Amino acid sequence: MNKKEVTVHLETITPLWTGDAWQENSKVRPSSLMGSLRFWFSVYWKAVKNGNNEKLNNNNVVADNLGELENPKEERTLKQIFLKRLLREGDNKSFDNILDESLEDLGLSVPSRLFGCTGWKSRVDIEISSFIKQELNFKEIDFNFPFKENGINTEHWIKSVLFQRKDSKIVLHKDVKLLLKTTEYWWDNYLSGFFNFYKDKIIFVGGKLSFGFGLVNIRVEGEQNDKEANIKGIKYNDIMRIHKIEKIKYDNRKKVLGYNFKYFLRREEEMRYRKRNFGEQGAASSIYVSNLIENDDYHVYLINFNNPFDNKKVPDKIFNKYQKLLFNHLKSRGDRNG
Amino acid sequence: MAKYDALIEINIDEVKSLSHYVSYCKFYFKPKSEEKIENYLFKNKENNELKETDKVNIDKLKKDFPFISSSKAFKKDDFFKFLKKNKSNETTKDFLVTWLKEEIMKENKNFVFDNDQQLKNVNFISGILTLNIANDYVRKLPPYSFIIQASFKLKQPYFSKDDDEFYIISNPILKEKVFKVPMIRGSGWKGALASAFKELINEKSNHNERVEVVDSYLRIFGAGSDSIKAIEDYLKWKSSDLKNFKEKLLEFILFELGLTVDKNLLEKINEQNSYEGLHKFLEEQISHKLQKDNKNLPIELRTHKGRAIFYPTYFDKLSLEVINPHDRRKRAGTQPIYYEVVPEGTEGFLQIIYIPFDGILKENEVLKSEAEKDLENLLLAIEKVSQIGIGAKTKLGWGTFEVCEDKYYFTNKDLNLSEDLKGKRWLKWQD
Repeated sequence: MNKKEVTVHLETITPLWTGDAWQENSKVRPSSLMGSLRFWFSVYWKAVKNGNNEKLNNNNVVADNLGELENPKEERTLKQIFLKRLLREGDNKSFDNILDESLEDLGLSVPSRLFGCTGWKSRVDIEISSFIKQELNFKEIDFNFPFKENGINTEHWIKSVLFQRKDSKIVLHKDVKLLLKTTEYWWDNYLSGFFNFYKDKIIFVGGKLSFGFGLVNIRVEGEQNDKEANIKGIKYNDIMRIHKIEKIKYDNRKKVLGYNFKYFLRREEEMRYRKRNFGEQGAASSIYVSNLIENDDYHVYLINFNNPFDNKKVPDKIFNKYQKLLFNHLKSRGDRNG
Repeated sequence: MAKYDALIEINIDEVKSLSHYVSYCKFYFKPKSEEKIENYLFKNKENNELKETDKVNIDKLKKDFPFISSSKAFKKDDFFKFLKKNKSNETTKDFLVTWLKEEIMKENKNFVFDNDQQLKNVNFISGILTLNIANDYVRKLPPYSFIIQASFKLKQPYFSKDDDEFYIISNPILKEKVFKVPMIRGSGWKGALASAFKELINEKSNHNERVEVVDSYLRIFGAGSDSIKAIEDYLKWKSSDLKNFKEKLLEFILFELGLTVDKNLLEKINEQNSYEGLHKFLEEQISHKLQKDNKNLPIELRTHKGRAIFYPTYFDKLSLEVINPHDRRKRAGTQPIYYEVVPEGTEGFLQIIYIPFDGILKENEVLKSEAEKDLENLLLAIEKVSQIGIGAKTKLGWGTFEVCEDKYYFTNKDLNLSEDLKGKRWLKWQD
């Protein structure tokens, strides 16, 4: 049971929002991060590894319960299975390995084995080690860009969702580092593969994703860090497509939230596909656009995430259409300014 | 008479003390639906149009549901808007939580009751000693007793669930039964420290040291499980079932001592086919003190009470946390689940009293060295728990704390600590 502690770096492409009981983003909340990690592990386990997944309840929320599981062949408890396996194989297998196999015998899904469920403690603990606070002022946001001509103004929505209690500014979090504590067995067998898989991809963490927040690149500190090498135009297993639109010319010195771009795309789409592709209240979107990112040049990411737990998929053709639409619009606007 | 009998009136503008707070959360009547309020306000509901009746009805409503009159939004239209904003189309239940959040806990997001009489009472009745009294107290105890006292500050929220069904928050925090003060139970401390102790045991690579910590563990926390009974029976010749004994031994090692079992240990257990062999094994692995005369088992291997008494900790702040499980298919939150927690930054007080009641017949030197080891190990375990966390959801870092500067142990004889712990500012109290 050798312990393993790794520092996981959430490199925020756009800052994080994790709302507390007051729906304010007062601190980075570990429960939010843990929930996101678990979700992305489930996606990885289901879609990439083709492994067994959690049992869900009526609300489609994890309902695994160790107490309810019984070995189909012989009705025995985990303790009994574990002892028997230990006596049989303890010589050449590690403690955690035997535990893992005993849980496999009982039929507990791997995500629940790792992140815990009723009657089973999580094998992964996290502790937030550092983060950077960033303020976003209401006055700093451009609600029109870049679609002035279309008369699109998102002020009402942004105000009613993000600034509902405080009208002047909100706090966001950047570059979160967390200490992930587990043991070598679970790391080597499940987690290292998971982090390795996502290291050149974007995942969503926390809330207010449709506003453009929470786009994160997840990396294990100390590992090869070829930044942005692959995020540019990536597609895997039909689950996620990412397209980067670069060199946007923008001269208004205000911040633009991803919500503006998404709102534009949504309005351009035919009514019957809107809800399906862009979500609605109580159902998430399949299309996300990042905030306008101001590095050396202005760029945004257009992302399509096809939830593998759901069967609705945005086909290549549609994604390409959105890509083109956004590109053309940003480009023509840029040209005018240039 | 009020229209709804279950109503218990509380002046909600006056939620200042803990008892008011708990009454608010516990007994406050929940008007189940908007309709009930409409019953007061509007006599006739024709063609889905509401007609406001006289002032008398409004007064009745205010009397029965005082929170409405406290609401700034109390006007005919605004009130329903207010309910709607709080997702209360069907139930006004959320209104109460919203009120709790926004009007009782307010901007600092805490409910503070640091000067509360109930808190003072419960501390007194639970026998939590002040510094001066502790010093006098320990002198009256058997030799080599000690008291550990330390203040600590929570680094993350603490939560442990109370089983109160009638409460506006779905997960109320564990509270003292009579005084309703949020607490960590003494048994909570015992459990947390015992599991931290197991880590201490596993960290020892030196075999003899490991056995010493096991001895210390059994002395402090006691033993009384099935498995130790089986071992006891076997060693006292009451049972001769070798197979059962081996299983129970393994169970004891695994589940009670929490030792990691390696290849060698397993082989050793499997190899043993006689009483003598297992006797030797026990001596090597669990206790050096196993005597040849099996009638006098060492105390550690008998069912016995532990030497330490763990006191509860009470807190003077409450706050809220929320989790929102997400629908896997829709990838959106289902229904937020509130947790009543003790917020980070709250201070608490830990007290442990160690009385070597079973040491009367022991030599002074032996007893002293036992107490010293136990003190040292307990303090190390406290440092460990502070990192692991106490209570529920420790995987999120909840329940971690930092021990404040003023941390002492009181004793009636000389007990020395290692330099390492002195460096961490664990000091002997001297008057």
